[in-house]
Amino acid sequence: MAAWNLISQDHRYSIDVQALDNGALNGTLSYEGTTYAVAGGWDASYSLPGRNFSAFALSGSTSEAAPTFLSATGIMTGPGTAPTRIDIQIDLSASSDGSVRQYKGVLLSS
Amino acid sequence: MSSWMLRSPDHALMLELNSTGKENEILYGTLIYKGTTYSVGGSWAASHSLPARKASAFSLSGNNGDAVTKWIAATGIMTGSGDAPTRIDIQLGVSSTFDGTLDHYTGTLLPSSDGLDAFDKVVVLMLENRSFDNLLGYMYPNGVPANAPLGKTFEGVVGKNLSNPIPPGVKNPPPPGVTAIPVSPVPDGNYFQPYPDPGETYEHINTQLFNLIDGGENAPYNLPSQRPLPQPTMNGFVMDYIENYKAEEEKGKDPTYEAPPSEFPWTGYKQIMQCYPTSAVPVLTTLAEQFAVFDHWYCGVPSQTWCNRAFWNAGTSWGRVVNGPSLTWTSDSLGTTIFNQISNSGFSSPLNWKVYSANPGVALTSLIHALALAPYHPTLPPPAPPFIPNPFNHFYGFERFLSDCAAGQLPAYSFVEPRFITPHNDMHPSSAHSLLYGKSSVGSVLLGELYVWQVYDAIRRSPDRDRTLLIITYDEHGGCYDHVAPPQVTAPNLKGYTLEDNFDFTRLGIRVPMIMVSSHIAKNTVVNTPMHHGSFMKTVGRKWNKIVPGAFPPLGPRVAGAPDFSEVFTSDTARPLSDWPEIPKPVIPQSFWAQDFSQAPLSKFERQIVEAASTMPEAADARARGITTRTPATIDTVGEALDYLRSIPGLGPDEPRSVLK
Repeated sequence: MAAWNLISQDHRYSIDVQALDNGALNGTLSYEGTTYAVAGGWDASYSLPGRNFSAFALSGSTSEAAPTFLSATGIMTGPGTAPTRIDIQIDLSASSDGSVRQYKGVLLSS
Repeated sequence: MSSWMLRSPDHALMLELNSTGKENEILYGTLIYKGTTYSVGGSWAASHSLPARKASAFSLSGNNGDAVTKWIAATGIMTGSGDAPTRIDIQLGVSSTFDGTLDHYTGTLLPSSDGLDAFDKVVVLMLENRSFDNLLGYMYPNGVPANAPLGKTFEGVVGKNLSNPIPPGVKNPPPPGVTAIPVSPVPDGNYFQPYPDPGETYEHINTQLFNLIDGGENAPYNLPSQRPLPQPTMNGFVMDYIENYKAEEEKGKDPTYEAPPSEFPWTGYKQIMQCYPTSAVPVLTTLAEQFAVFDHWYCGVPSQTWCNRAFWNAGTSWGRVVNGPSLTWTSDSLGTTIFNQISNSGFSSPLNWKVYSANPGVALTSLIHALALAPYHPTLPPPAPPFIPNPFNHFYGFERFLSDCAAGQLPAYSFVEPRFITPHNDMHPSSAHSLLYGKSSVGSVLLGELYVWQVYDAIRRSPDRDRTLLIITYDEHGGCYDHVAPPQVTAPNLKGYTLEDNFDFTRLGIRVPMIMVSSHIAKNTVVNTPMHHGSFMKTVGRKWNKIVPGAFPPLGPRVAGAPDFSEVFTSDTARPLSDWPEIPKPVIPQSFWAQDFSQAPLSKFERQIVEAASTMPEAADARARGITTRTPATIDTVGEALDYLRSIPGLGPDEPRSVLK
């Protein structure tokens, strides 16, 4: 098991998840001050032939009565136990007002 | 629980989900994005299930279940009830462990069928040894029409300045100043090209991919030493054609750049860079344009016929890479096929299958899958007395295909073989000294065009027409030029099998033509999504699992991770008969049919068929009872081969040539 803690340079986005050896991911993703409980999975580069990059997907939501849902995919650089960079894209949809948002950026080890 | 099925108007994305609850509950199912199927799970919240919830929203994540994983995550807003959303505005991302790309998609999904109800019957006509560029590369010279229903690009040869270099030190060099051979059209009236046959075994294809000769049939099998392997350059076709000509076709002779004036024209090594203009293959190109063409369909293995055909119907070749030694195929081929899955789907299953072949007793499909399909041969095998019809027979002649079409009696799955033995109409490039090459002959491409026309015309006239999907494809590229590097892929389950030539099966073969014809496919449909032979079983398995749940598990990880081709069904309503084009029948001179081909030398491929047939139980029985004393080693001509097969009860005879006209 490894802990990934990475944050964007402007400190508006961060990820704090546990990466389990079985490929599961659990933790939180913070987006502009709001925290989302997320879960998903990942694969390490070169763990099988043809896997040339480490990649993941996550989804989850806030815990409010009218939750906002989040999904994220990304590519990691560095070892799976401690990635030094994540290229990430995040999508959000809010049940409170039906709005959607997107973000694409880079998270670096904090 | 409720189920949602929605699709984007551009067919890039289909969603099939099951939801539970009305407040904040579970969501699970599949997303099919650009042909790849993802298993996903997540949660959703229904609008107005609590006062603060003004909209229904969800998030999901999952992956494609492939060893070369792609991860997907999506969020969206639903309109309509949670039981049956009438619209989903979705945004999703995909990250690939293969190339490190991040793809993003935003779109709207509307209620739809899954596309799989567009057909009840599927007919596969698998021809031989042609690349995509060789037959279809000159299509869409001005691009895909703006109003085309799906893909807006076409990966052909026009406007790309494609060429291959002349190998250094070639014995018969081109004219001074010529250092590369550009792609050009096959000359008018030539249906032989490339003649003689290019190299098609694993090591030859490696040379075609990487322009390298190192080891030949021995390690490293003409592969570069770099690991992981670099991207293929696709510039070794000229080098390999020259090499194969010297080593296999005209042993010891070096080919010239162009044919000497004294020879019948169109030989010479520059021809390997020639691709057929659309006017030369009007049946294929008309169907591809009037219905659908896939411009990134790859065969299963960078190698030969038997392995690629095995990948189509069994999802693996059990570690085998080349046809030979064909003598052992019939004892190695234990693996389950899609035919077995259909037969095992139960007495109440409405599904059935037939293989149609010019020689049903030795259909190539029955040789490749000899043990798995033994119960379904035309006659009962020994020790039953010869010629006792097998009540469970699934192998029939092509004439039966025509009558089944006419009577509306096609099974759920028809696999149609061409004639492999001279006069072969399989489109396979002919071997040196073939009687299909010459001034009074016609060439396998024209014979193949006629065969495609026969199959299409029979379906067009059939009462099954609107419920039938016709798939016209090729087993492998056969050494013919193509400019697109094949991608990596998940290997099948290889545990316990010897890896021939040390190949790990993580690379696909070269592109082959793939044309689909259906009343539910709109004109000018171009599918750009990369697919491979495993996509066939993946898609029909998904369809048939809905008819007989659980009967069609993917045959191995290659099929499980294969893209689904259901995006090809671009028309919700069936086109009328008047919109099925009437294509002129290709004309073969009567003088051709009158020829005697019995003295034609046996090609390698033809010999492999005879060798494999000689290992069937029927042949062993015939030898034991003294009906035949011949062995394949004593057979040198087409006539001897056919006489041999006809002499064995249960294997011969082949169909009369008149069926091919």
